[in-house]
Amino acid sequence: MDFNEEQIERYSRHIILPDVGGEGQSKFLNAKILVVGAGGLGSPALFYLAAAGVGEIGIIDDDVVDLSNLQRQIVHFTGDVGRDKTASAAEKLRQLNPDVTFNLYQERLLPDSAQDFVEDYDFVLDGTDNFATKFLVNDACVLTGTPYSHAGILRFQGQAFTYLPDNACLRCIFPEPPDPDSVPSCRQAGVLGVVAGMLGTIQAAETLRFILDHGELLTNRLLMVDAKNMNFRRAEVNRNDNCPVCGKSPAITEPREVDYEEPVCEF
Amino acid sequence: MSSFYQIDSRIENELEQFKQEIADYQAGEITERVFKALRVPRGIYQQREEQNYMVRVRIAGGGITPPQAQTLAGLAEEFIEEEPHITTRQDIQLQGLPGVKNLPEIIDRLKEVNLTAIGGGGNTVRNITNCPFSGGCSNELLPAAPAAVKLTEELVPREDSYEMPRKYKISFSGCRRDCAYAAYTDMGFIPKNKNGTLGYEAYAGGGLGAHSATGVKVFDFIEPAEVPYVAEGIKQFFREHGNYEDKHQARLRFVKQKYGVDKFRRLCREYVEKQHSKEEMNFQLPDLPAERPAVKEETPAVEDDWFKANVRSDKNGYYSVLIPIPRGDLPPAYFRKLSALSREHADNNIYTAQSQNFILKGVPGDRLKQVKEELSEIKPAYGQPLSPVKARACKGAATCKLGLCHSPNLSRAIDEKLQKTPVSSDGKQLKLFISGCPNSCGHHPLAQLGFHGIIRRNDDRAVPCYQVVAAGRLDHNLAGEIGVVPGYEVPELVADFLRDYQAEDAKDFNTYFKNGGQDKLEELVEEYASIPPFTEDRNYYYDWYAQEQFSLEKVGEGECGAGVISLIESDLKEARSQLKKAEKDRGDLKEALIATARALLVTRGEDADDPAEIFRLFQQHFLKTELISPEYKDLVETARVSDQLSEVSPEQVRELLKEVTDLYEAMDSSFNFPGETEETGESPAEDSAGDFDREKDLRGVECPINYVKAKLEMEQLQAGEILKIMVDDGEPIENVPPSLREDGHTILKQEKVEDYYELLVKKGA
Repeated sequence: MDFNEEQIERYSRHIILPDVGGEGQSKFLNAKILVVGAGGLGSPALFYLAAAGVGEIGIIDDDVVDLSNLQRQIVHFTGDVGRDKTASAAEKLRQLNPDVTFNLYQERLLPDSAQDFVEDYDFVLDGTDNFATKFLVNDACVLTGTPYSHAGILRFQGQAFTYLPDNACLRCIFPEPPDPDSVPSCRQAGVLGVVAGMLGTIQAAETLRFILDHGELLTNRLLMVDAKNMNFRRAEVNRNDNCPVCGKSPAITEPREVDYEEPVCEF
Repeated sequence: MSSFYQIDSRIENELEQFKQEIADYQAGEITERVFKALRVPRGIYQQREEQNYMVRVRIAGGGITPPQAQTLAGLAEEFIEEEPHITTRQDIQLQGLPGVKNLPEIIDRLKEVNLTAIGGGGNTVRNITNCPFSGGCSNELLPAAPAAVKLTEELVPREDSYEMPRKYKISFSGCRRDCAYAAYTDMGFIPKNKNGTLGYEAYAGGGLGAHSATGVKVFDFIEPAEVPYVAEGIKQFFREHGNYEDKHQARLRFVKQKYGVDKFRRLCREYVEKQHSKEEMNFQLPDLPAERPAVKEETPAVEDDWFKANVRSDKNGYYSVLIPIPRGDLPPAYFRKLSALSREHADNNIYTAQSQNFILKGVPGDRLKQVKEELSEIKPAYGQPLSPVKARACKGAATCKLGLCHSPNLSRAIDEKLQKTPVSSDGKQLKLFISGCPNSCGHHPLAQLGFHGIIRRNDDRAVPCYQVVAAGRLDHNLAGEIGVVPGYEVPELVADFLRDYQAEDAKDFNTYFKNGGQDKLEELVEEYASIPPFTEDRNYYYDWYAQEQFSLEKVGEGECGAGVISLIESDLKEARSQLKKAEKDRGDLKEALIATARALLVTRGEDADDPAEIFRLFQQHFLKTELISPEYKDLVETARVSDQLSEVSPEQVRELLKEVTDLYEAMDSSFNFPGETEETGESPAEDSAGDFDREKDLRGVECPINYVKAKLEMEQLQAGEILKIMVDDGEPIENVPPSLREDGHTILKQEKVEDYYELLVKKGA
């Protein structure tokens, strides 16, 4: 594709990169990415995806900005308290890069419509803050064959991995959401704001590398980050034949309400 | 063991060749400049007084046998005007050789006892060091000294070990404590026990210097048999990826900096893998020495301060004894006596330590008393506990051309100051390391209290000063800078600090430093920092024990990076800069032409100072042979016979320089050019037609956007198609073509048109 003068300058640091070049930048501009949740993980991810010139970004979130969000959800500012998160995010991102088209969905991702949403996009970035939606994103992506990036954070820790069709999915690793009693909720546990930034940025990097088709993604590998001692660890994970959604005889054939109501702050 | 390291026939040939070159130099057939490039990689340095040379003898394994000690002492007595010196890398330096006349005899006599200075300097595989207590220490997991010897025999005879981007230092530790600084050198091995199997962790890209760095762990575990593949593989990686152009950015650690740790590690591993497919390498480590039969009387006969400070218990009632050699210098006669003492009471040999001292190994406990007495007879200091400071100092301004301050004399001044300070008997000593300049030959980044020479100006005069650093540790924490004090005040500062340290009840130095020591040192540095005017106190303007006022006159360019490649690089750089000057001033192009013509002569074993001779040699070796295209015949002939170059345009010189540079870039490691060897490669001429498939005018576009646009154009082409671009002179022409080349494209033509350049670029595969 042809770049205009402004684009050449705006994306010059990408074009210079041997592994990106004009071709890679064109791929960014033609990509269509869905970000589920404009919160702690979604904020930095959205900033970088928009800055990179990802052509079309969908943002789905049913929440409004709360003062307690601002410690980590950096796309929202103090004046945004009470505003729809999708609108608040899009306002900043449009200022950052007018090249990007935003599709805003101020609603909750629900089992009925989840497949239709994810199917529309090349890649999904899961920035949700609760187990129910995380498993829903997984099931919808697996059933439609849509690649996606998973991440979760709690206290000083975070984890991330990337699903590609025919590889390990979230339920291969964790067949069901954990017992609500065994997981401290966010209000009990808290989270260091910057950990959201770290993991969200890793998700954005996974997304861009997926678009470029470059390097090894976190596929079949679970990255575990401990910001307390700044340890990064990767564990090999395998596809599970008994996986309830992608195994040999799956029990889940369509997304359904995950039996898990306790909201846990971003895993 | 008759000797530690066996010289093989390849080294012998190299030595014979060097002797011939010395003869040629004496006969005036080789210039000073080329001789420097030839002698430095053979371990021969010129000292600050230019008539004096230094021979740096590599001591593989750190061990010196009796015949070797006899030879070293004998050579020092016969030919050398200064005392032999133990370096921080376990070499022995014969300092103060007046002229090169006796060098061939020295080379021969060293060779007779399997010693050589080859690779003692220059951009080579330097002495491979090891834990100095190897062979005695009871913690040793794998035998470090034999490993160093073995690898020396494997790497040193290889021809390509002598033209590296920069020096390549390797070391072996014997246990987890890393006494040989393996994690702080270009390449190092630290043994480990992994589930009952012994092997090594391999580190690369560390180093002490003006930009010290700890190494990257390239392999977490390798079997001993892997050692030569790793050392040679990473050497090849360094050869191919190192920076030959800027010797200040050339060490392996800068390659690491350039690529980042992950890519650096990956590439190191790839080259090691490649090394496996290239050749079979043998590396059989001997077992650790069999335990000596136990001595009956296991209790040592002495248990005094000397014993506590200088003696280490090994196994079965044997001991290692450290002989403190002040500043690493000792008279030849003492050298003989210490060797004789080892024959009598220890394992026959004397060992060099990175602390610039000697070590005796295998001393039975019941001999310790006698050893102490005999050491004291040779020189009282040898049988004394180490001074409260464990001092190290490089040669500094004493002999080194880079040295700013006289580090050995500062060390002496500190010793004298401290003579009245009692040695604390609980072993509270201070590791005090001094370098004469910011390079770290005196190991100051590892010091508890360290100093490196630095210059300050006061009262319009240069003042010898030191940067104070502290709390360097062997766990990847290099000493941090505290502040600068004049050299004159350093002994006072050391004495005050030591007093405070010894008075405090801390379990070790780090605890002390954290709990008040650092504050104390900062306080002292502030107290001693000021420099009075010259008229008030002249002492500050003299270096220690110096007769003359301090000046930087004798500081020169260091020799240690000399070699053929750096000679070529410096000529090409000179040519570029002269040409630029000539272009700007419309000045004389002759200097640029001289440097251009001279650059590659050294590859033909030629050099000259006289311009006419330089051009004649260039005609003979490059124009007649058509290595350089004949179209420059007239230009070179004009330059040879006349100083009148008004007819010559800078463009012509630039093109010639470009052709010479291209030829140099195509040169292989044996200094052969394409066409001289079997494989000729693709001829660049066949593509240089004027056709092109696309065109882009990038004049007026600044860096890096011009490159961005050129790259976007290239993406529109198929492999083999040609883009024509126009770029501005200056930064654009210097940056755009190399970047396109790095992308894998070929610059077919680069031509200056008025004030811009036209380029034809062929797209790579």
